[in-house]
Amino acid sequence: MRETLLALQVGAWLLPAMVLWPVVAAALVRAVGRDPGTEEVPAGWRDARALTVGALAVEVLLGAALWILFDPAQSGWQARVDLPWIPELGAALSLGVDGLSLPLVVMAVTVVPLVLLGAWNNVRTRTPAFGALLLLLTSGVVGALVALDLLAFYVAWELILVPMYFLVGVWALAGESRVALRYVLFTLIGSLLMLVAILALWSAGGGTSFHLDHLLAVPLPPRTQLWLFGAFFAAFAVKSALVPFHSWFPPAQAAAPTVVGVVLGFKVGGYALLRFAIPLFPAAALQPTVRVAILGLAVVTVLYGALLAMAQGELRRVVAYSSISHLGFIMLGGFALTPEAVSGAVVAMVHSGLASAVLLLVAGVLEDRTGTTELGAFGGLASAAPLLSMALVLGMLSTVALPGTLGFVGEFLVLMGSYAQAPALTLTATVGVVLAAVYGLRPLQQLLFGTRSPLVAHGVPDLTRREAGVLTALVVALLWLGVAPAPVLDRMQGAVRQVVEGARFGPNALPAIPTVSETP
Amino acid sequence: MMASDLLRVLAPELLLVAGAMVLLLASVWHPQGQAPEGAEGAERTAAMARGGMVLCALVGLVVTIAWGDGVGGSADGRLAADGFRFTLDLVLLGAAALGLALVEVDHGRFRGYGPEVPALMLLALSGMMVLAAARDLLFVFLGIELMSLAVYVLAGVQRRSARGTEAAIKYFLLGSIASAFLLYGIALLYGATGSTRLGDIARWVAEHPAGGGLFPAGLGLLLVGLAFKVAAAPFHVWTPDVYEGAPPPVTAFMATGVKAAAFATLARTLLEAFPGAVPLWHPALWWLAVLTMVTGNVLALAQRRVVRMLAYSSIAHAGYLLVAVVSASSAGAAAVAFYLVAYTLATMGTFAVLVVARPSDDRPIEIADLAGLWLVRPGLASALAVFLLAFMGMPLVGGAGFFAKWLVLEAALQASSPQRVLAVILALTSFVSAGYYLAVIGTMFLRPRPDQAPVVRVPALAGGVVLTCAVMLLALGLYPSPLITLARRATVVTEQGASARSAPTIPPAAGWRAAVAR
Repeated sequence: MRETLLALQVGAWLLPAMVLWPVVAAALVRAVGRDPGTEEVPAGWRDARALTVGALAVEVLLGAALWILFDPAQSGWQARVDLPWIPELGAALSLGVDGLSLPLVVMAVTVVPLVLLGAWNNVRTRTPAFGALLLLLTSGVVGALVALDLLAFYVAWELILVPMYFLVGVWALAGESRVALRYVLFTLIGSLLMLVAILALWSAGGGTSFHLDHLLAVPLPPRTQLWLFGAFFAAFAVKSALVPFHSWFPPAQAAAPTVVGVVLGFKVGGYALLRFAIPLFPAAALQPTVRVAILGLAVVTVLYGALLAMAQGELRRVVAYSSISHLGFIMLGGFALTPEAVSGAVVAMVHSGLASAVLLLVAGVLEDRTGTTELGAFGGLASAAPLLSMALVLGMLSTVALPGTLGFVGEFLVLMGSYAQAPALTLTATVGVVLAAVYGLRPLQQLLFGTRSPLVAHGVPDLTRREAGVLTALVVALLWLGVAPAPVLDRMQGAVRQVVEGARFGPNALPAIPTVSETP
Repeated sequence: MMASDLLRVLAPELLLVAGAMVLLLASVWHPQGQAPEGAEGAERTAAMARGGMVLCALVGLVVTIAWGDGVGGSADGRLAADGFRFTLDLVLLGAAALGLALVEVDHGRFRGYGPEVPALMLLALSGMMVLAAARDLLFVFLGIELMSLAVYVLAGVQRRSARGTEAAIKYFLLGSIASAFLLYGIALLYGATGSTRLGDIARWVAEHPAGGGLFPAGLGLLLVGLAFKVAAAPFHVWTPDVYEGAPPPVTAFMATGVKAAAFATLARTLLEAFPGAVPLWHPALWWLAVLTMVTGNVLALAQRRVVRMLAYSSIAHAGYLLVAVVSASSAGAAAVAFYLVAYTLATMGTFAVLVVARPSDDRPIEIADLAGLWLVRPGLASALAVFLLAFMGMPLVGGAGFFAKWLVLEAALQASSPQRVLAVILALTSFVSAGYYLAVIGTMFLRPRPDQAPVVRVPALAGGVVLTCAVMLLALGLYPSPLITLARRATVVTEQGASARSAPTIPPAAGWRAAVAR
């Protein structure tokens, strides 16, 4: 298989195709797609939803080819492509993957069509525009994950923002469209500061290239690094909803259509920290005060997210706060900066996407069947809708990191890798695992067991075959990777080592890395 | 100055003026028709506007040929013939052509324009083009008056509209005061340096670093006069009333053409005549830029009428452009040229949408009038979203607007003393601008269309303007290389033949600002 792909020289066009195909497909869907909701004639193959899923299926195939093509033994960029773009500024369309981005790219392109398929009837109005915007969003996410050129990365980063604004705003639950504006404003202030920082970095590098490899070698005094790191961190922390920059996230995810909520929860910000902020400015990221502050924020995020998840009375908000809690672990792992912790962080990002997809799909099904996702309205679902309950239980167990699930792999690696660097903070974060059991099991108990509530007694149809199929695929992925994470971890190794060593011994690194002192 | 020399250097302008005169004559040639409810001779306005567009294209051709032939400036150095002038000429001609198209569209709906309107726009355009070329303060004044007098009349061209008359009078009174400042400043500078030519002034400044009392006063008055014209805070107070009172096509022409011409002459004057006096004007312009960015963006947040909001947003954009001027480098001049192209396209497109979407009574269009536009006119609403995102500076979906901001930031950060604080303020105020641009986008896309909302008809010409602007913005946003190359050629060439790249370094600013900038 791999030999065939290599012989066909797929690598030469694979990544540009993955970034550009959704844009082309978006135009096609908008032009050709029919809205099944408004027209009397059955839309047939021109149903915009079907076209969108079809276009995303092509993306899945490309993602699969990327996975097969990837050589775990090699470190460095793979499937790298450099296309000229703006020679006047030194910007190029440099795309490439390594072990850090590969799992996330494959996860992202697989989860989006699956969730769209599973939440088939979630969006019923103006589907051609919805499909087109979703495809643009996919292009932005993939672009941000594979861009090696900082200008191209920034463009993709903002390309996530605008379609997301429309997707959340137009198709939000009734009366909730304001959350879209809040999302944009939060994100924009960070990204505009990042723009200035990118420009300053580019100037410091001679103004000739935006390529990551070029900029990594630019010597920067620690003070400059601190400013630039601050700007990058602001952008990424807001986007990934780190406490205290998180307040846009739960309402947006709860109001957005299912598939949009899932993409909103992708931890692109966490990835960008590992890919750009830490390697480019290691002296700032590892400066003791900064590092303790961020590790502290990470632990606060773990605990705060978990505590607020416990307090929610609505399933989507439980998911949103659990996602924030996961982000805390990702940040902890990222800034602990040991190979195990960073691998754990990347696994946790992949897990967060998959688990949110399962739980938000289940919430969407409940919403579809009963019109509500309030926990208090349910009871005794387990006997009324066994398949749905099964999916919910398995998804939730992975979310609370039960051993044997992907959630456990990520959090365990993070905690194990961080302990040597920051024992006290790591031990505190471990409390979050215990709290997770509480916030995860309480909704299960309320929803599934006990006496049937009037709503449930009225009858809740179980999963349709399509929903069951999608959820099975996602849950199997969670469990399979939980038991056998080696294929992912093996592919990650080289890149993780590079990030860790680059940050510790690269040209901009601090002369000696102080460990975080352990007096809480 | 030899007559033949003048003829050679000013050929495009002379052709334009001659054409405008012919149009003016043509507009009065036939006996006056009296359409009910319309302006006098209204039936000929459309033909005049179309003739004006053709003339713009012709002059554009002449400019391109002149540029390609490498025509030199006038022998006595009063008129420039460099990339900066010709780039600006093309921007101005484009703005005028699009403005004329909008006049025709708006005229098709309201019949409110007399046939003299296109001719006046062309005369104003000739003043703007003189400004782009002027390297003598007297030519600067000549250009400003030629432009302003025509624009004063244009602002009040709808005689039946009380708001239009009010706008014209306000604009005229405040504009005359600004001209008085300018003229007095020029006189003082002449008194101090003995010349009105930019090159002579630069030499005098180099020989007299101390300056003396008359020189700073003259420079200050000159800056105040120009700040009025570019609508920089705190000299911006006329802008919202005038922009709102004038008919939208005229406003579009003012917001693009007048601003572009005023910035061209501001940049050229400061870079050519006063590079040696940077310590004198740098702090003043620095504060002007900050104040303009903050005032424009913050006040725009509070507006409910679209044109008023755009007036404040145009003030904000003047602030961004001032950042490029403050950096005092050829990169700054290139950024100004690029920014003006993107800004002109976005402004013209926005006003084209407003012209077709504005209510049929004389009421100013409010943001709420655009509610649900996406549901009835998806193409129009999407195009307006592109224009507003371009104002915001979003990459890709905002097209060239992103690279415009990029080049300004680049000029600021790569100046000989990097303007980091200005760059950060620019980023933060751009963030503020998202508040009001997204309010419009949100209204168009997220709100339902009210039942009694009027049907929006899009004439082919208006659709063409919107499409042209949107496609050009998006194309330049995907592939800005040609325009960047063009803008980089648009550097001011000083008399000695050296480009302004060799402008003296900006000395460290004094006091707390220096501490922050480090």
